[in-house]
Amino acid sequence: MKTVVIAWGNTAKEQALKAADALSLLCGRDRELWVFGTEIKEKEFRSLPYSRILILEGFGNLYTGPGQYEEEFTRLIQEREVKLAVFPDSAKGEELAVKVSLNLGTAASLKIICIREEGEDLIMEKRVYGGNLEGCFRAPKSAFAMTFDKGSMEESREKGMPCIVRRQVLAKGTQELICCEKEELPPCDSLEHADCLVVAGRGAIAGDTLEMLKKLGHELEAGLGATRPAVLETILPYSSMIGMSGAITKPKLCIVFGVSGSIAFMIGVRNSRILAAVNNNPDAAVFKACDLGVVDEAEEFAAAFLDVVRERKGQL
Amino acid sequence: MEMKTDVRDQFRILICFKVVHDLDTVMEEDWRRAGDGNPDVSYTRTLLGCWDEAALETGLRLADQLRLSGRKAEVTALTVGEEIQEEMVQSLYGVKCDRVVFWECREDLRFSPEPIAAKIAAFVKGEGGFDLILTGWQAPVGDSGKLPWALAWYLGLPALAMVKEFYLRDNAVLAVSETEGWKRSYLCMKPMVCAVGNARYPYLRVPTLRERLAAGGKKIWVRTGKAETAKWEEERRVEQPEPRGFYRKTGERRCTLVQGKDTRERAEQLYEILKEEGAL
Repeated sequence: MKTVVIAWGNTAKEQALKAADALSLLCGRDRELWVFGTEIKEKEFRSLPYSRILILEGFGNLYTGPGQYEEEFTRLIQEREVKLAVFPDSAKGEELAVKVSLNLGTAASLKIICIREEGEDLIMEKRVYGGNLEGCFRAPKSAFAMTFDKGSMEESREKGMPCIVRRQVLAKGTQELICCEKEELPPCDSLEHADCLVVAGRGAIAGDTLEMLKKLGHELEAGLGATRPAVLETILPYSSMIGMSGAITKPKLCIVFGVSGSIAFMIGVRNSRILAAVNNNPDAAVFKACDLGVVDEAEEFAAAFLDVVRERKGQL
Repeated sequence: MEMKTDVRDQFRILICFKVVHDLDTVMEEDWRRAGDGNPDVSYTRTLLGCWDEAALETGLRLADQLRLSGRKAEVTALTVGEEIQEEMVQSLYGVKCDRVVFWECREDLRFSPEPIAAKIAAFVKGEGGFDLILTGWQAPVGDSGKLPWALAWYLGLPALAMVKEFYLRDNAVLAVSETEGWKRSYLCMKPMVCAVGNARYPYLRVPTLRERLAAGGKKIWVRTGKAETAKWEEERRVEQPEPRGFYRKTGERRCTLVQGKDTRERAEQLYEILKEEGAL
């Protein structure tokens, strides 16, 4: 079965390695990587675990004219008889996966946790019902596109000796959208890679609690995350959202304050080595899914814990 | 950059929403018994999908801005599904939706957003003249977030992800989208599909009693499959992934409650445990 991974931009290599890992349960080794971007250096891709790498050149802007990408990828998938096309786990990746799949006459599969073979069938697993259940689905028989779920992939350590080819795209770069202004959002530490996390829930945003948690995060050298309600009700950026719609993290230590424990959020922290929760409600669902629980007011406990951390650090 | 001014009389906004069950209140044993993918959620309340609620408020705010600038705006709220509560309909009319359309569909499309997108596309084509089509970013039960892209594909329209808000500049509508570390403002010159994500105003306004009473006489527009659109939809059916089984993944943690006579003592206790575990 021929598979292709499509990657772009500054993180193309990382995307390619993660997808290679996620596809490792599939037997076939006929795996291609199609990559495009402004400065694609061949040497970066020389040892990736793919049989062939196509560096695609001549595309227009992805964010104002995505149609040319749909057209070109559909044509290439048909021409090279690809069965499975994996797009990046980003908004644009999902858009392209859905549209390319529809061009191929199949429904795309997005946010897949794992894919494996069972006899002749491809079986995919994904979260459904707001993350409360995981479902197994048999993939379409015809060619289709998919994306993996964030946090379901590690970078592959496999090595390969791919044949690298540069190719000019045929699609015409038409502009469908007019972008008037563009502004880079402030960079933030990636929560996915943080060793320690302090997380604010809706019960920890009132008064000075959030400020306290920021200070605690600073003392613990921890990233500051938040639940969806907390992001929506504060000035915290979207990139600090943890859970099914945000970051899927795996820190050594995660301390959550004022979090009820809804499954959609817990999915984002359940891979923590140690998960501690602070909530004033002893019956909160979060206490059924953590290692250490503190029944207390978030603000008071955050202040006391911050004092303890500072004092103990001062003793060193 | 010079912007063209949109001089059309009426700006027509379609907001697509989904009525979902409150999954946080489903009992654990019901999840565990749901190996066939059909958990009993019938006893839970129904509500607007959270991203769809944000789409509704964002669309209504755009309509407010347009009206304030002297233009006419029309808001149609559309849902495809099995049922919608009368109370929800009255609330939507109360917050100044001009029309609430319910497309009854009893087919099991929980994991197949494409046929739902095809129905919405058929509605849009049948009605004609929408300037902007808003959807939420994603919704249970499928949790895939495919609908906005499929809808744009069926309609042949461009689409924007993670739309945060709209604003007016020189009488033109601009959509702000935040994706992949960049904030971009797009000009809404021609019809497009916008998937509302991290909205600036995520909660739907609450109608006053007076607004609710004023909306009392308004009826929902019920639409069932018409023969011509059914054929159009059928021709656009695509091969779907087939559900094979479901399971509940539960955490395997046992919580130890940190003891102490007061907050300070509990804080010290937690610190010591974390230190001992090598987490600090």
